[in-house]
Formats: sequence, C-alpha cells, structure tokens
Amino acid sequence: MFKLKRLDTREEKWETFQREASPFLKDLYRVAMWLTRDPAEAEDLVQETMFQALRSFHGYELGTNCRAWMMKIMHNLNAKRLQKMGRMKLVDDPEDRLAETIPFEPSIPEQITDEEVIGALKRVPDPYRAVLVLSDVEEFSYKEIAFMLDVPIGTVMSRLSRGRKVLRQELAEYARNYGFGDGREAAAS
Amino acid sequence: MHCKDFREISDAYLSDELLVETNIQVFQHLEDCRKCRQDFADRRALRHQLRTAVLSSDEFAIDPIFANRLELELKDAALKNIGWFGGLISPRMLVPLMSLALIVGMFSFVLLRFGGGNAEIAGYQGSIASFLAQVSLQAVGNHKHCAIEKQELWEAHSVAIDEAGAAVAAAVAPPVEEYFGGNVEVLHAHDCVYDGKLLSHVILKTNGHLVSVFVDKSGAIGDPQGSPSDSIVSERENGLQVASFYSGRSAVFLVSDLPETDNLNAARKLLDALKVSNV
Repeated sequence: MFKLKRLDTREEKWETFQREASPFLKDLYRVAMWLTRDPAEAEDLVQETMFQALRSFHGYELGTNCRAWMMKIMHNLNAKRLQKMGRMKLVDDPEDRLAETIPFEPSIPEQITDEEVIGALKRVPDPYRAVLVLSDVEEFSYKEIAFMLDVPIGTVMSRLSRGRKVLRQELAEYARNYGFGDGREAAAS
Repeated sequence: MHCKDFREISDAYLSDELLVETNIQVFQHLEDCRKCRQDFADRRALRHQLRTAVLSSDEFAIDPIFANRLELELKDAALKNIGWFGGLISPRMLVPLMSLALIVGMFSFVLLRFGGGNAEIAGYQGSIASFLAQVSLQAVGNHKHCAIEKQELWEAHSVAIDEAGAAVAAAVAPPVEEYFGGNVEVLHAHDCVYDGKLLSHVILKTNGHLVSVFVDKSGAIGDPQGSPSDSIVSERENGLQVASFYSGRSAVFLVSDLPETDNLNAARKLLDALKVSNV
C-alpha cells in the first residue's frame, strides 16, 4: 500500500543513500560537464547536487528512479546557477528559428572520429544539447527527461528532434570544410 | 506507411519510444524502403557513436580524487546528521522540529480519520501506531507546501500567518486563549489543500503544549457525527487527544498532546465561539 520505507539509524540512512545515490556520481559529473563546460564548475555542481540529495533523501521514494531524481536536482540547481549568472536562455530565441531553417535531413558524413562527434555536440545550442545528452548519451526516456527538465513531453520531443538535426548539420559542415564527402554522396557515386 | 510518415516518427523510433503496433509498421516500411533504411541506419550509428564517444572520453570522466573526497564529506555530513536535514538539527532547532513533527502527525491523524483513509486502514496488516507513523511519513511528502517548504519559518520560529489562515486564526485563538487564561501563542496559520480538501490549519502553543486546530473549509468532510449538534467526540489515538465537532458550518478538529479534560474543554470553548462566528 505504501512505498515509503522507514529509515532508521544514521548509519542505515547513510548506507541506503550510498547504495542508491553514489553509483550515479560519474553520470552526474558527465552531465554537469555538458551543463557547465568547465571541470571546476562541474565539480561544484555535482557536490551541491549530492549534498542537496542527501538533505532531501527523506523525500525520495526508495525503489523509484534515483538517477532521474538526482538529475532533476542537478538541473534545478543549474537553472538557479544560470539565473544568478544571467545566462538563462529561452528556447524561443533566434537559435530556435535557426534550427527550423536547417536543410532537410542533413546527411551524416562517413568515418567521423569520436572527437569530431563530441566537437559537433558542443556546438549544438544549449536547450537542444541538454535533451540530446540526456536522451542519446544518458539514455533517459522522454518521460524521465520531461520530469528532470520540468517541461512537457512534446517539448522534449521537439528539442531532441532539432538537436539531432543540428548535430547532423554540424557534422555535415565539418565534412564540407575538411573536404570529404558524406555518406549519401559516397553511396550514390 | 510512407517515407514522410516514417520521417515524422523516426526520432521516436530511434529513441525506442513508439508503441509496439507502430514499431511493426516501421519494420515493414524499412524492409520495403532502401533509402529510409540506409538513412535510419546512419542515424542509429551516429547515436551509438555519440554515446560511446562521450562515455569513453577522459574529458567527461570524474576525477577519482574528487569523487573520493566528496564521498568522505558526504559520509561525514550524514553520520554527524548535518546532511540529512540541512543543519536543522541543532539544540536551537529541536523545539521547532519536534513541533513540526507533532503538527504533521496531528494533521495526518485528521486526514486519516476524515479524509478517506478508512479504506486504506481496513486493509492494513500492521498495528494502528505503525500505520499512523507511515501515514505521517506520507503526509510529510504530500504536505510539503505548507510543512516542509516553509521550514525557514520554523527555523526563525516566527509567527507566520498567511492571509487565508488569518481569519480562522482570529476566530480560533481567542476561545482557546480564554480557556487557558491568556497563555496562548499563535505559532502558524495557513490554508492547505490535501486530497482535494481545503483545510485551515492553526497551530497554537500553550504551556509548552502544541494545539492544532483544523477547520474544513471545503465542506468535503461534512459533519463528522452525522448531525449538527453541540456534542463533541473526544478520542485518544496514537498518543494524541482529538476532539471533533461540527460548528454548524464546518467540521472542526482540535488535536493536541494535552490531557483529555483540557483538550475537551478547549474544544467546548471553541465550539461555543464558532457557533456564533462565520467559521
């Protein structure tokens, strides 16, 4: 009937927290790096997230999705951080219109390196990149991403679609600049 | 399915977010359409490469020294109990925290009795005390807007009365104060919605005891005794004394850790006052 479980001693609470939350430290840092683009800031954000999670752990329902719960805490903290820095961006901005003008289904170059893929991902605008990372790198579902970012599922879908399109565009541009063709051209030749 | 239809759902297909029935249609289309099949294979390969590239990159790997240090700091905070409640558990905060716990317990009790909790308790296998304890835990989560998120009000231990609760506090406090000879302090008052029921919650303190008064403003609870009268039902549950009555307009509950006589007499004063007020 009730999913909440009692947490007893401090040691037991710590062990439960350690068991549930600590395994996701690496994941948190990876996403924090995408959010901050700076190792020191990413460490600060992860540290703040872990302590906030520890403080709020009584509100976490054991057996549910701890990884998504912690990611949500981190995104909330990051939003506050950006607000303080005056860097909060809205989706409805010129970048949004830019994404809509991207040529139809840019093709994907062949033989791209991992570094080139990461470089292209870094050039994807923030709101799209956040969803792209959560979906295609961290493999969260639409529903989980909507929960984390506090946006409707439809917004997740549209940001992901645009993010993937921008990523392909960036890779296609890279291929053109460095003088090698794309997969479709190769296939057609 | 046509190519245009596939392109519209290809992102959801790539994320494995389609229904089984739609997946079958996609399989069939991909079998028949070489162009879409190739395009989708490219996209899937890129998605896979994106994930493996990031996961294997040193740039996005956590520094093990930082990870170890953080783990130790967290453990230290947890075992010293400064992490769990954000430093609230200090001698200075013991009284407000105990008050908060008592209030949540009282609130949970009222909700259990009159808020549709009976069906749940009927199927519960444990003792009533452990059931109430679990409900209290649940109420902490559900009641966070007025109990948890306003912790700073309790930290300051200040009187914090929102506009909605002020009218009820003004009606409730004087009769209780009259019974206790003027030694009553209004700690907090607010309106809160729980399980669709709008309750005014006034918290009073007298001679070291906390008294919670709940007034059902929504009318959803109705007359707890079945008929409007001057009678008051007095019960003791889970260490708390509960007096409930119907003021003629609302169901009212007075919950405290006072002796039964005091709790009942305070409720009687309250009933007399509320009968002639607008509450």
